[in-house]
Amino acid sequence: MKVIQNKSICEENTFQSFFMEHSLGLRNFLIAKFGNKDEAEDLVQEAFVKLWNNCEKIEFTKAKSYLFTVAVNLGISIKRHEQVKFRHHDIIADYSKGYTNETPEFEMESKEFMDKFKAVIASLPERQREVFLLSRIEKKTYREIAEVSGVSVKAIEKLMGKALKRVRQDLGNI
Amino acid sequence: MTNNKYDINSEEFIAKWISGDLSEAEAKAFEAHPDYASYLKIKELSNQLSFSDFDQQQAFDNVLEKTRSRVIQLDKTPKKNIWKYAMTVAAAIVLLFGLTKFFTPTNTIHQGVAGEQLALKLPDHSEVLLNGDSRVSFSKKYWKANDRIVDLTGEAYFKVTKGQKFTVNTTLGKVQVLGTQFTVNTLGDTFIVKCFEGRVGVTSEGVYKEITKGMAVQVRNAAVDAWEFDALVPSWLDEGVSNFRKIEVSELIEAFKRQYEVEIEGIEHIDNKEIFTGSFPNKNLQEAVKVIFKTLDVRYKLEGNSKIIIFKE
Repeated sequence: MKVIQNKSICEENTFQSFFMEHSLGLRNFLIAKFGNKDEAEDLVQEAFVKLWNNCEKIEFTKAKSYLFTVAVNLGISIKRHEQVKFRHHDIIADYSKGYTNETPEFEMESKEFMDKFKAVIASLPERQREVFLLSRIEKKTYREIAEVSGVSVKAIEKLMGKALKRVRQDLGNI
Repeated sequence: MTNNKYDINSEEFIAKWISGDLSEAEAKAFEAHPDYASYLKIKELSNQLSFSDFDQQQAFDNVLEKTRSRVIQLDKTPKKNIWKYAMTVAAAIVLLFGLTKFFTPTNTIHQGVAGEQLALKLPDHSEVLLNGDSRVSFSKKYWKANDRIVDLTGEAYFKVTKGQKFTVNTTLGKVQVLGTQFTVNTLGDTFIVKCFEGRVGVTSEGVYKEITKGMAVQVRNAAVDAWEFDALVPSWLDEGVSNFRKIEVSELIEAFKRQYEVEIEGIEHIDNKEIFTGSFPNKNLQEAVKVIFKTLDVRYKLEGNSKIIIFKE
């Protein structure tokens, strides 16, 4: 018999702290992947319910990858038939970061520009957008993105480069 | 270091620049690039972005509520709807009986059509869940309690009752077990075995490998790939999703056709040797087509629900 010394997901405190540690990351990952905040948050809840219901069978060390796999599979299987448009107002901009020395006028101008920037990101092809958001917002390394996507690091770098070239082109003169 | 590994105009170079993965010299060289200013602006703008707020506590409360309401429902139903419940059971028994009658006495070959799963019981009460467009057969006449043998084409999940040797034969290899749960899949030239319980011995093209719970092995032309997974049951049973790792495109298409009855035109425009890792849904054609052909980066059109046209690049 194996001595139970590891943490178990079935323990309510462990489950709760596991939720607090991973739910935000999972939710943002799902927004980047499926492009819809409400759907992403539903998936997070469903995936955690599934994790809880199967807690006895899942080792603590494998719980995170189980969670992500389940959420992505659920997302793929329930995703609406219509193409879900990426909603760029699920991304928000914090104007206090970046242009610290600029005048208020400049900030106004940059708000409009920022909206355009967000719209350009939203219109990227799905895979490019996913990589762009995970890299730039979630600050994931290309290796980490490659691992969850199951493709090579080189493929992710290619997608990111394509995304950057396209964003630059679509933004026009900057 | 003087020689740059990447062309300054390549996708990889710009990607490495924005993530800060270039060497100092390479980054310096990029500053002279005509597009440098605009890329810098993109970097600054994107540094200001974040996703909208997430009410974690609320979400956690919702999860708790969902897990609790499930328990309450289960406690209530049998008492309240006892007759309805009894009827369902009766119907299920009739149905099961009907199926068993239909499948066991005369036929020893079971074949599912694309997109449909089939559940069947073997004489020793082992269970076989057949994935779409797959086929399993055994000789009822020669079936022996101490030498259980079935032949398989396609994919199936086996729940083998404890007992003597149980063998699954395929054209690509064979799997031998005592009592356990596992899937066997023959896909193109690839032989895939995943173990969900117990221990499984896999033989293919002169390779022998033993795997245990949570391990998978994949053999193609004597090359062996083994990995670990977290799923407790096959994703095609539990979540309605087909899941693959490093299979060739021709095999991916074969797997896709096991789930959907569609004609594919212009398949020659895809590089057959390209490798695919990922999942597609089994009950949502539009989404499956999107996931597959977007990942392969080809232009395609879905006509109705029965034809996919792939365009030349």
